[in-house]
Amino acid sequence: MITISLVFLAFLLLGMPVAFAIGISGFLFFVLSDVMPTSIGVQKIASVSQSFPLLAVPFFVLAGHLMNESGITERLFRFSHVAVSWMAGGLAQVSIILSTLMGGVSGSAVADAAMEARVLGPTMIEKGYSRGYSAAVIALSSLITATIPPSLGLILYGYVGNVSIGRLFLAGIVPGLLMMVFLMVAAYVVARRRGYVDAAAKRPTARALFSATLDAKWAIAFPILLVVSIRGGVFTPSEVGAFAVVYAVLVGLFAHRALTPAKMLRAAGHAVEDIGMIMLIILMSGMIGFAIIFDQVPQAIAGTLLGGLSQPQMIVAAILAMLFVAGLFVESTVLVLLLTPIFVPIIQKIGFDPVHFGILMMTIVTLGSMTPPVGVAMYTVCSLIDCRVEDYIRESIPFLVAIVVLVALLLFVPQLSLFLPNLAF
Amino acid sequence: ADYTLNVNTALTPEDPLFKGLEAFRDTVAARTDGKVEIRIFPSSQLGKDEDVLEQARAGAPVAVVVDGGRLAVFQKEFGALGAPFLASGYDGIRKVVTSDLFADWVKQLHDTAGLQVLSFNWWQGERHLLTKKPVASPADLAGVRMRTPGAPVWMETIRAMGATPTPMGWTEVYSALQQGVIDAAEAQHPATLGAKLDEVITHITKTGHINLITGLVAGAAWYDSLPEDLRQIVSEEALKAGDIASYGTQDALSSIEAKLTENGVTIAEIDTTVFREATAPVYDMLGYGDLRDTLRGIAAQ
Amino acid sequence: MTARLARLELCVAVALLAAIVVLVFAAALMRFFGRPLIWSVDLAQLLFIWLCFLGAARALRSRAHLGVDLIVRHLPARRRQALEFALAACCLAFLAVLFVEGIDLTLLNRQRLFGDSGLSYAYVTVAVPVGSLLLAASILANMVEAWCGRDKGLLVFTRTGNGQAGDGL
Ligand code: NA
Ligand code: NA
Repeated sequence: MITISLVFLAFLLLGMPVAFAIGISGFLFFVLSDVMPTSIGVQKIASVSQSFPLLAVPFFVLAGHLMNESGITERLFRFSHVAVSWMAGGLAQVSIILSTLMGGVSGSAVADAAMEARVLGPTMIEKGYSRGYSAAVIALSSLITATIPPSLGLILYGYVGNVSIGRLFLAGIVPGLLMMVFLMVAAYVVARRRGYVDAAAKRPTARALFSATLDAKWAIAFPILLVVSIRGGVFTPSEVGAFAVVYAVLVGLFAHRALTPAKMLRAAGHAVEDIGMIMLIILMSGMIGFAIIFDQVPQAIAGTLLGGLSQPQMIVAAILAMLFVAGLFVESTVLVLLLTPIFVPIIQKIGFDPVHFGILMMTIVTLGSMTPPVGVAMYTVCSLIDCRVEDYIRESIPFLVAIVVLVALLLFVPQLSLFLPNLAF
Repeated sequence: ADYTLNVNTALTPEDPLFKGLEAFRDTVAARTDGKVEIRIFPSSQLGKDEDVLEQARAGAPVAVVVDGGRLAVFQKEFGALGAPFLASGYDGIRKVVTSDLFADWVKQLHDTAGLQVLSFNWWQGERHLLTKKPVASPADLAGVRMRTPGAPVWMETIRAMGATPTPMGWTEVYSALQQGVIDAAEAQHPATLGAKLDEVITHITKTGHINLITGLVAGAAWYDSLPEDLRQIVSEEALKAGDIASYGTQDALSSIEAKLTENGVTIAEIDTTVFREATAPVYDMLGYGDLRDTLRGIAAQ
Repeated sequence: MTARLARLELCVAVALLAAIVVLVFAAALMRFFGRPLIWSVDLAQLLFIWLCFLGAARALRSRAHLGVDLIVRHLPARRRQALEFALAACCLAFLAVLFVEGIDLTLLNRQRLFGDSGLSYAYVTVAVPVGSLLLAASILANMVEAWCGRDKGLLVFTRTGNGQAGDGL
């Protein structure tokens, strides 16, 4: 296992695509094993694709691209603008609200951050917001999409850890909304001090707010429909992604009249590439997942961890700290795939709810994508806004503080996550 | 240990059958002076049943607890073990899986498919109907979407009993029943309780339509690599452990049933004749017509 | 020629994606109306692995696969090119082994059935060796491009010029 980890890290740091670094090091388990035939490595790659919950990945990726093409994203942007741009740090507030709404229609933080950096970034700079502040708020607020359902990360966590995806989806709602509030407060405080206040801006009239809501109704209705249709027994959580795709197409064609065959094709083309990129990582990780189980790594780690600590919340806090450090260096999808099978048995053993843990874990590992040294969302936003990483880091501190406080709150008040799923299931 | 066998099972450590696997592990270690080590992987950690069978055929030191349906693609006769109303209870079906006829199938499976049955007397119980309304006859099941494993013999049996067979992974059944994605399921008592299905159904009708017998199946290559004496110990202990598991299951059934009732489920004994008659054509449909009487004869001895 | 192949690859992949959506959506609807389709989800699952490999090969061609450039971005261009060629060679060797082992496994277990469909599970397994070929072809094409454009600093896996890796997740 140590050889495998070292080979993985070496290839990773040399810049090999993550999927191949995972694949080659995972395959090494079968090569080095005296007893496992190497052809079983192929089986493990293939069998990952034969899991029904994973079909949600292509569905939600495609749905996300279709939402952009069918005018849903644009309307959500207009709605957010009308609703909160009058506040101190108005455009930052727009970014936070928009991430929350986008969280309800798409499952990827990086995609959200990239979209907002293009749509919102230039305007923020133009209105006198510093580049660092703009980049930090856009990147860090995209963290909200990781917990608001649907969330690709939670789907993967549920699949690998054998945890109910329906419960995970419901559990993410309150933490996602809380994160919105916490980040809005942080943005407000900084903006007041900086004077990022548009003197001319006024609160929207009820009429303006109503008409913006009406304009965005199909987009705002979507997350509600999603949860209702799972709850109401029309779709299993695994099938609901197919519904999301059909919904995006129907709204684009008939309600917004924005979708054309050419646009659909373009969305599908982008989706195919994204699906291939993420799924190759997931398929290849099937081999390492098997190696971890076969060598009984969770049992070994549980022994060390449970030997030193006894209080469940302290153990979870220690695990979260480890995840945070790992998240600084390794991409969140990869962490979920590789570490979920190790940690879920441990936290179940100490009587901690795996649904509650999933929300905490997703928040922490996704945060890694917004922090240096390795952060896809951070680099994407910084390069699109043309912001220096040093400025980004300095300006992101208030938002990071807000997030850390929230995570601590979520850890010690389980009901915030578990209230909704316990109510429904 | 000189030899290691990694046993995979879909069951959880709480299942009564699991005790048998632990006994197998302990007695094999004791009798071989630790030369053969058995490691148990619950909850299908090494993969789906079919995946582990594939690993075994490729030469990996793995074994898996499977029903006859999964072996039918290699040796058709094994599929007959899952046919409706073949035998009831453990004692009858035990005679079938320890018969000379069965030993022939085992040998053929070894030679043609590279799989070695260590023992096939792991009885998990009789499968009953789990519904949200009382059931007395096939007519009551008309239009009821009942979850069943995807194998042909199960599908045809459920169809013949009047319901609409709806294949779905076992782990999805709880939420599917709760949300009304499906209306019913069918399972043996330990599995029903293990998956907490009593929370999402109201009625269990004791049809016993399928008598779920499973076996411990390893790779022929691994088995043949053992010295003669160890091979014998492993086979003997697998049979003994199967008995421990099966009698353990049998003993647990009444307390499981009490617990299910306590949790609010109505459990009904019914006259199963109507279902027996309705499912009779399934044997011929699947090509087990000739085998039916032979196997029932052995079970009734 | 390569452009036409790429177009064909895209068309097949988009068709697979559309088919998967329709199959799963139809299965849910039909079950809701009490007429469950038994094979549709199985078939979607079978098509899925092919979609994964086709998409992965396309993503390789457009250099969209996620990588860590924390250290290597400080290397001089020449060194970095040499490094990526060496990594590409490792990947090609890995894919070659997967191809051989994949064919072996496919042949070993042809009898295995795919769910309740009556199809052989070999249609799933064989996607791995075939997919390995597609990925290898993408890497080779990228290597040729990178070699021809070596003076402009083109790389095998990483996009150069404006931008980092593509919009990942
Ligand atoms: Na945002
Ligand atoms: Na989301």
